[in-house]
Amino acid sequence: MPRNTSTGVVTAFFATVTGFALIWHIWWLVLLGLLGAFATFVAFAWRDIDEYEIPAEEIARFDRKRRNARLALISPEQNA
Amino acid sequence: MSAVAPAASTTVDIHRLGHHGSETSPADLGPAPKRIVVGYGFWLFLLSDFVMFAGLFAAFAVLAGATDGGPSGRDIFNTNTVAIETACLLVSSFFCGMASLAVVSRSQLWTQSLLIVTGLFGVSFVALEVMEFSELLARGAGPQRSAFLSSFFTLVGCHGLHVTAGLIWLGTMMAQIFAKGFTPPMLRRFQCFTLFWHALDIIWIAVFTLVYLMGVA
Amino acid sequence: MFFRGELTPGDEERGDSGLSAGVRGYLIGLGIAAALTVASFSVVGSKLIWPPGIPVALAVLAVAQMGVHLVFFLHITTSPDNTNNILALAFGVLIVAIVVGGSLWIMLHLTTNMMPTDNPLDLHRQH
Repeated sequence: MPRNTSTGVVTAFFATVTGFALIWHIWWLVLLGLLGAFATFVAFAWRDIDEYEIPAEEIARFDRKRRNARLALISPEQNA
Repeated sequence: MSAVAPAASTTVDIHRLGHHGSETSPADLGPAPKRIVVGYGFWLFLLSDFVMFAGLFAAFAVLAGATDGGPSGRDIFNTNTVAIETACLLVSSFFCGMASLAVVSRSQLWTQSLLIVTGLFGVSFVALEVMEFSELLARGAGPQRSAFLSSFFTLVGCHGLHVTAGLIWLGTMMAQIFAKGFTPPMLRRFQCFTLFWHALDIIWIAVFTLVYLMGVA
Repeated sequence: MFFRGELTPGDEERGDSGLSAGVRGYLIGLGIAAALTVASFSVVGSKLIWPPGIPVALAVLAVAQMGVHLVFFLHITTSPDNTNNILALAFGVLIVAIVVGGSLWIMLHLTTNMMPTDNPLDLHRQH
């Protein structure tokens, strides 16, 4: 599974800043916004660990638990 | 319920799956290796990029005659500059190919040097194009002059922006390869970059043929 | 587990042929592409081609050069390992053809069917 990250939100913030600056012709802010977005992205791309593994047994365990819970819901009603 | 364990280190011929005698069905093998998924996915993105350029090409083709009494292609296009730009991109693509061979050999020195050369030719292309655009703007033949010029600047400018973004990507990637070495994620990113770079040259072929050469012919 | 028989775009099925074969492939691609480029530029300037045929000649040379790029630089070949990539490319080409061809067709009919009036303020005229 991919590791969680806040990159999307942060980049979106910088993109909003850039868009605002482009509309109002605030050129220095455009540059700042673009640089901020780029820096965020590079920081995100630089990480060495980008995912974590969930072992198959753990998923099987979750699934068993869920199935048993659902069976417990159904069977008493069928017997009633 | 037990999970299906994938078979360890066997070579599977995907062309024989499910055929007489073989026991593994494609479903048992799980998803394709990351390299293939990433490469194919990026290829699909590049095709969508081609479609976007096709829209810009269509707009240019429709508006090529709408010069509003202003300059037409014949008046503003300089085939010598275009020839040098084309050569720059083509040679840059060639050196990108050489760099991919260096990556296969896992040679840090060769990879970085060849990528620098790739980048330099790309920078020359962008510089020439910026000079061409600023010259046109100075002459009053900017994107506001006529529909023809609007579509010209949009199409060629979009391609130039792609090349510039590619150069920024190249610089960042060179730094990363230097810092991290040839790890699987870096190899995947490098492969995506080569796909991108060659695709840009393919689009430029269409640009210089349909915009410049047909404009001058 | 290694899937024999699947290549991602950009992969070269080289196996043991080594570095020199790879370099040769790229050099051949560069040479042919350069020759096609020179041909395109010379078609425009010289009188070798009948003028109404020049756009067709340019288009043919451009398509050929795109093919050279695809085969020699991107290694999109017709081997069975590349089938998925070819299919995706074919679909992309189809969409491009529809977009460009359709736009041209529609706009040509539009301009043909809108006969110029005597109204000088006819804003549909683009000339």
